[in-house]
Amino acid sequence: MSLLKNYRKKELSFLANEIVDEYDFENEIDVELIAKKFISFYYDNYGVEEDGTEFEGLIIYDGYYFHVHINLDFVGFKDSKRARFSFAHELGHYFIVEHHHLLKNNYNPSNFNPKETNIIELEANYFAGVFLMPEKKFKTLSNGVKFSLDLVTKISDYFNVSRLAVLLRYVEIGAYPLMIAYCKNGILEWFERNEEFPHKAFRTKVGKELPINSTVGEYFRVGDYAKHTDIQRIDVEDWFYYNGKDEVILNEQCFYSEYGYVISLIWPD
Amino acid sequence: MANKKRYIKNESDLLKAMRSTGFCFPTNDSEQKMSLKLSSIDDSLIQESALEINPIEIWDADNPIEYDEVITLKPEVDYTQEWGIAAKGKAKISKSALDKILKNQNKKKD
Repeated sequence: MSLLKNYRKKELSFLANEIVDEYDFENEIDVELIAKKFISFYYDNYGVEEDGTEFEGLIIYDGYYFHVHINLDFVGFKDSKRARFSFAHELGHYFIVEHHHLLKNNYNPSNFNPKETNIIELEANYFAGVFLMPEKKFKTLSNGVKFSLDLVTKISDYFNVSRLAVLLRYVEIGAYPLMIAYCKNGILEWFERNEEFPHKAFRTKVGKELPINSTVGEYFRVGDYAKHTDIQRIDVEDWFYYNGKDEVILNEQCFYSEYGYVISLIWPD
Repeated sequence: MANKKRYIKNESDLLKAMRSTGFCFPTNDSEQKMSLKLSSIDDSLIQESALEINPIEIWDADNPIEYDEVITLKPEVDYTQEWGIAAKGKAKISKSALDKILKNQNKKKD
């Protein structure tokens, strides 16, 4: 259940690939090299508020120029994976025509209901994923290879992006069946699965409780006693309705965030 | 019919009013406060700048002291309301972060 429409994803992919295709990078995309033609950018320790919040990256149109600011207090250091993603995200706001015009017309999320800004941020995130991991190279690395966490790490190192960013890209264009579920407080918040993923009939819905026998569902039900950090072998019926005669076993790997959410990956053998 | 209240009744009141509204230099705290209030300049900015000035040093100096820095006091402007902004993370920027943003951007302009 993607929050962005397919036609919009295609438009954003086309745009990001078109920009990157003008360059010939060995492996990781040099974001600064592309950015410096268009905008000014700054890395600084912009601080973190007492409640742990502050911007991670932002783009400003001051009436004359565009400026991108990256907060090192959030992203660590200049070329960190997180810094690169934040930078690419902000560049997305510059390159996506609709965002560009909104910024020039005094778009300011603090003036709006936060929910209205979500689509803008989601689009910039999607753009950043495509921009940092162009389709051709991504497929060269992933096609014909069985999905594994080692593969994710390899792609992550190649493009110098986080493993989560790789997973979200993989679920879009990867050739091996994969599903990602984003879960919080025992609820399925959203999920993505590629077309190759064979099981469609969920035992739950977005916004509803997780299936109790899934690894992630058990974690939210039982707590740290069921906090599995390695790959778990689960029965297909732990997550999906299944009418087949043969037993089907899936793999489930959970990643636990310090902010209370859990990302669960599910893939067949 | 009620009589209209008059605040300026004589020359002394007129002078006080002129000192409080920026037409003459203020001569005491209340005149200065009123003058600053009307000109929308933050009093704390004045206090901050005043701390950097040493009147004894000026008085004792043999030659006039040259000041190489011009301090311009401007009323605080919320730039974020004038800019187009898209932020990853928190949408509302703190004052301290905004100051650094402005400093960085201005440095680039110079």
